[in-house]
Amino acid sequence: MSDWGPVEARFDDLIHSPNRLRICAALEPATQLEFTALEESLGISTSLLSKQLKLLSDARYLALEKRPQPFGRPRTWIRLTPRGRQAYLGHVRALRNLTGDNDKKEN
Amino acid sequence: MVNQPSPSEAQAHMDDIERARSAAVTVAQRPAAVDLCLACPVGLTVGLAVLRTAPALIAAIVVLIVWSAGYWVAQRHWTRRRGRILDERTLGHAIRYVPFYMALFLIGQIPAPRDWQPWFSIVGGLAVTVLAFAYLRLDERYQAKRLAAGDFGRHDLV
Repeated sequence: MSDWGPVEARFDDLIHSPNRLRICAALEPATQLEFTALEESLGISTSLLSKQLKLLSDARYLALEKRPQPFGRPRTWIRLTPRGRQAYLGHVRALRNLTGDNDKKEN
Repeated sequence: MVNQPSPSEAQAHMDDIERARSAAVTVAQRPAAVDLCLACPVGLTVGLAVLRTAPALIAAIVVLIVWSAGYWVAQRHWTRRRGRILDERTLGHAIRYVPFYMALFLIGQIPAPRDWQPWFSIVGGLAVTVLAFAYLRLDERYQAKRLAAGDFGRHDLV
C-alpha cells in the first residue's frame, strides 16, 4: 500500500464499482495516463471506459485534458485529482480493513 | 450507502487493484529500443572523447548536447505517461550506477598509445554503450517494480 499520509478508511459509492475501481488503481502510479494506454491496460471497450471516466470526472475525482497532437486527432490525458486520490485510498484502506491487511501491518 | 463486501469479496477487489496497477505500469513502460537509442550516443561520446583529438572532442561535445536534449524529452514523455519515483534507494541505486561510472572513469584515465587507436575508442565506446543500456534497463525495471507494487509515497512520485 502506498504511504500517502493519513487516510481515513471510507467506502466510496462511486469507486466501489469494479470498473471504476480498476480505473483508479491504474491511475494511482501515474502522473497522467493517455486514454488508449488506459484502455489497453484495463481491456475494456472505449464506450464503457468513456462512460466511467465521465462519472468519475463529474465527481471531480479525475481530470481529463484534451491535448492537440502535431499529427492526427487530439489525445485525452487522464489523472487522478487530489480529491479522487484521497477517496480512492480511503476506499482501498476500507477494503484492507476487511481483509485484515491493515491489522497485519500495524502489528 | 454501499453494502460492505465480505472479506473474500474485498480480497477479490484488492487482487483486481493489483492487476490493474500492474497492467497500467506495463503498458506505460519505456521500451528497450528507446533505451538503446539513449545508450548509443553515450558510447559514441566516450569513443570520440578518448580519441583525444580536437575535432573528435568537438564532435563529442555536440553529440553530448544533442543527447542531453533527447534524454530530457524522452524522460519527460515517459514520466508523464507513467510517473517516476524519485527516492532512489541508495544501495540499489549505487549498484546499478557504479559499474557505468567506473567504466567511464577507467576509460578516461587510460593513456592509450596512438597505435591502439581507433580500436581503443571503439571498444571503450561499445563498453560504455552496453553499460549505459544495462543501467537504463535496470533503472526502468526498478521503477516499474515499485510502481506496480504501489511502493511509493506522496512525495516520491513525480
